[in-house]
Amino acid sequence: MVKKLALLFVLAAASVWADGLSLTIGPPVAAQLAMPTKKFFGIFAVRINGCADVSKAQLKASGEGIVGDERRSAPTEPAATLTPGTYMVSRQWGNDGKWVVAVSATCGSETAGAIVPTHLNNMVREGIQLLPHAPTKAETDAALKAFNPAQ
Amino acid sequence: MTDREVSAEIIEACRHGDRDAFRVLYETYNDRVYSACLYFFHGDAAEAADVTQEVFVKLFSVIAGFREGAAFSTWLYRMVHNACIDSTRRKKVRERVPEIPAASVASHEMEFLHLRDAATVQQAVSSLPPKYRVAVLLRHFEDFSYEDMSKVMNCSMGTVASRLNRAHKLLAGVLAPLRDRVAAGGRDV
Amino acid sequence: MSERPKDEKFVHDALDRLPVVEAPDSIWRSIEASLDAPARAPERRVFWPRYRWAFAVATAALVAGIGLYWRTANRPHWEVTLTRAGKTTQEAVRAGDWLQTDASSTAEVRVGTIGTVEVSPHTRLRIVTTRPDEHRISLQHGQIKATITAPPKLFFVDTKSATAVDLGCQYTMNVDDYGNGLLNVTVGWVAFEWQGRQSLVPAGAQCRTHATAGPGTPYFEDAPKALVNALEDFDFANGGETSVGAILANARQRDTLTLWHLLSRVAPPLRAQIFDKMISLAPLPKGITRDKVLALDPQTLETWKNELAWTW
Repeated sequence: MVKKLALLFVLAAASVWADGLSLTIGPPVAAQLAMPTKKFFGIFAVRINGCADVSKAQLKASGEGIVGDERRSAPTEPAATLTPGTYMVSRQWGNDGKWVVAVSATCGSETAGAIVPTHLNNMVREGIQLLPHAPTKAETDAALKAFNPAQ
Repeated sequence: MTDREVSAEIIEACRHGDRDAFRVLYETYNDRVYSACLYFFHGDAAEAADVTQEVFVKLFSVIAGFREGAAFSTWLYRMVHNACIDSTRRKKVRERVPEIPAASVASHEMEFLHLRDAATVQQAVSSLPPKYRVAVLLRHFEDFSYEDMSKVMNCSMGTVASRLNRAHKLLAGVLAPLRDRVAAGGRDV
Repeated sequence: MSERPKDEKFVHDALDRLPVVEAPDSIWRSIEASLDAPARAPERRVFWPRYRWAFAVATAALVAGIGLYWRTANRPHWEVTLTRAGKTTQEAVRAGDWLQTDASSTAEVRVGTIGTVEVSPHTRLRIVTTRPDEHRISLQHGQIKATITAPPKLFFVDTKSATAVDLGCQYTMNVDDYGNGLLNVTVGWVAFEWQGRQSLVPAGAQCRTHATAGPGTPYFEDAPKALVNALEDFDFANGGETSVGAILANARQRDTLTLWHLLSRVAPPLRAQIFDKMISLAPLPKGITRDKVLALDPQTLETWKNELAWTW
């Protein structure tokens, strides 16, 4: 009986860990109606999942790009919406070059991330990578290298 | 900006409680006062409306004490300055996320670049500490001299210069990506 | 002003991007209310002339006349930039005015402080209301492009067959004289309504409207042609079950926008087929049950739409 209970406990804990912290990336319309102001336009929406207290979660985003031969970074502050845990990410870089957005979220000791390719004012859904950790520089560079906005 | 100052007759009529004259005075300044408040409070229209109302109600109640010969706009904007700073102190600046714009359109629209620039500028202004922010907005919307600014902000001209200088440096840094577009006169073609 | 330091000049030029925003009318009303609030001034003696009733009537008439003049002179208006053959002129339009462009002219209307409407050639529209709480135009024919950055439900475009209700967006609307037309949304959302029927159209999607049927069912611009054709049959030509079958056969994950709208536009047997197709394309969120969807529970449908939007 005790062994059965212990097994149930482990399985329950595993399912919690299996749920864990994750991100959902979607088009701006997914969060547009929850924006505190309609003067805001984003390129994609981010939702933090699996966080016990989403009000304490933190989200960061950075545009990572290659313009000509130059590697650039452009921090962008995700805008909170009226729905807790949902944010809008805007573009803070120019039209030249190719850009991805490295997104990372923390909730307590857990981290999740995503790399979102973008083209002008839109995300490119096909290239989105969801990660169980904050994107590393190597991962971001690889995503940039592999991304061809012209496709 | 034209006709920044109302006529002495209007002010005199207001001092005698003439509501129509006060309406004229209000209409002369309301948009600029509201705009300065709107950008000071990060685009919060409700807060901007509240402070604008507060300023003008107070103005009407104390206008009898306005000294002839003084610049009315300086006196008015002293109230605007104080109301903005006081409101910030009272509410401990629940700093809203500033409006940040980038268009989410499939096609590349000039007007969205312009909109985006406007809100990028607004975001940059919002990032300034309140005393710098109000100084920048009053200087920009009213084109006050440093001397006038010192009366509005109730500090020395040296302090005015210092705050504006620091604010401009901060803004110039944050807005650096816009420099080419702004220098070209605004819109991409 | 003396020559500005370089940084200040750049910042000053950048700050020019911040427009002067029109103060809402409500502020003056609040000011008046505050000034009129009880804290009465001491009574003043007024000298009444001998024929005081006549004096009172004359004064009232004078005040009414001044008030009417003030109201007329200060009626809310929108600024219009008309462009014809490369030349531009500025005009003001008020509620009740018509605006018409021909083959060689366009116009840009500043809708109060909440946005702009670009008017294409061969377009005729009327300004209906210009109040701070309602900005409304009636599009008789032609094409407009609206860019609105206000809280939702402040800007409305009426046509003969549907009303576009802005939810914070940018869109293009094209109608003919009969009221047949196409709404195309590029940013945000638009609610397309007529006689109780509502289509919610997000960015990247479009929606037809027909004089005899009102707004159709929205679909994404990149939807398969076969789906679009079948949808047109369903919406405007009584396509029925055959059309729904073709829609389901051609629907992609993104087309759950269309399918979601169809749920409430078909009879229960077809509804169940649509539901089954939807869950094969996108997993059902927690808390959403088949029974509640098929019963068209409003909260359930709303929650599901909000979840589906992440896949659009």
